[in-house]
Amino acid sequence: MRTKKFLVLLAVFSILFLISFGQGMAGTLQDVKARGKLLAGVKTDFPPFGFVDEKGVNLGFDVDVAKAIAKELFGKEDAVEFAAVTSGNRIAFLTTNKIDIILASMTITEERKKVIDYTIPYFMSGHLILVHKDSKIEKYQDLAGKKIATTQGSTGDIVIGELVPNAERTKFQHNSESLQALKDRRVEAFIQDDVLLLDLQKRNPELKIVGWPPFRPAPYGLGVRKGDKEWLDFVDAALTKIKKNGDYQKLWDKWFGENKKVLLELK
Amino acid sequence: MGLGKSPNPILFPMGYQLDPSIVIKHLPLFLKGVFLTVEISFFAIVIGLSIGILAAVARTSKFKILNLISAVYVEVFRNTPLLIQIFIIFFGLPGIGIKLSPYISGLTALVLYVGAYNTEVIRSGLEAVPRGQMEAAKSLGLTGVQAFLYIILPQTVRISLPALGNNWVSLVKNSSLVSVIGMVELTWVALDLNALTFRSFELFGAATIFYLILIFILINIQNFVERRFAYKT
Repeated sequence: MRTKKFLVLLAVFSILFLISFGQGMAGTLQDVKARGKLLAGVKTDFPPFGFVDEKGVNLGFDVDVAKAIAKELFGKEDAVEFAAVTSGNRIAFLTTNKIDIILASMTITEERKKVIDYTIPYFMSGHLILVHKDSKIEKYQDLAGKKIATTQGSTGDIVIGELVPNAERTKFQHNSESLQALKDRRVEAFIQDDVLLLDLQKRNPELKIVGWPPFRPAPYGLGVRKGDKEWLDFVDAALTKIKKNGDYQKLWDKWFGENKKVLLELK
Repeated sequence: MGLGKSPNPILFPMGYQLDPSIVIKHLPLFLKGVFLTVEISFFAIVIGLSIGILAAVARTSKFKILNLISAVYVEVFRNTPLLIQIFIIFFGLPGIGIKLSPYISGLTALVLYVGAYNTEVIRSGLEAVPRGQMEAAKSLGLTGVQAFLYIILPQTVRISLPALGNNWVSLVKNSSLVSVIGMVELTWVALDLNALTFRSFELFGAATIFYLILIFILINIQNFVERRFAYKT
């Protein structure tokens, strides 16, 4: 009896699995305009791109870029609502229509391009290694056989998997957890994007950054749903505009000015 | 393994291409995750049952201090989220010098959690055995310990089994939470592959089916044990 019930359940679930539900491909631009508000997926654990202050307000470079796009759309910066995303779930948030655009320090990769479309690049980043001050690790080659932390879905995780496949990786869901694992000396190194590690190091003086110059550099892009050309063109035009009129440079200097000498330049 | 590249994608009118081959491709990793889920669930069930019996005996004992310790343990672990317990054990304890591996941290959290629920179930099982049984056993010459082990405990376990089974089902489902500390169990595998390939529906769908199968097996084992323990009429 129980077996029969179970098989019926399993069959029902399998059918659901097969019929699935596609997402409408109607234009995001019209949706956003009709709603009167942009839904932006930003990070909350990735300063200076996306983080929250003590009052829970979203701040960061990505947040400011979202506001600039809202300004292009509606003429006012606050016509935007933020959803907290992580490296692991941001693409699912976009493809299931929970957000209109990803502004989450996302590196442009071939694998991701199969699922979403990217805008023109808006930042240039490479990877570095965060270790304790007393560590003997100097470059990524030294990580062979060592215990290291990475964050699920990050390029740091993918890149180090390719460069040092025999390092013993523990993958956490958030950068804050990867950092905590390093501080507790559960791992010897944490591999992530240069710009994040610079910020984390500043707030944790017992740690240092090694692996210069940033390895495997790659540009960041904003992500939109695949095939939505009208929306992609609109965002590209907005980005091009703020790059030309100097607003982009102002934002860059605001968030990255102190690290101007060590960060890579977007060409 | 993305859109358009799979050998036989299923097409849908709304534009979503389903690609179940992603699950087949990563089956070894999925099975590794299933194995770890089974492993930690098994250990948590066995150790959690022992803790439940000990704490329930303490809870019903005449010694006030044992009674109190058991009561505090049960209330703390039943009334706080398991996720917080996992974070405290893994990220919190190193602050006071106790550093446990992800495996030990995750297993400890699951054991303490299911142990607290088992305690309440076994306690009510103990109380359901008529008092006269203990007196009768003693009058036949058994010591208190003998009477407990051979007369009271077997009846308690039989009475408690259905409710313990519920706890075990919750435990297998809750074991998914240890994915947050990097344990490569079933949920972690689905999350990780999703972060890399973005095929949410296929991957979480596969995880759902694996959990259904695991719990179906668990329930059948429990039914079997229940039948074996049942009064023969």
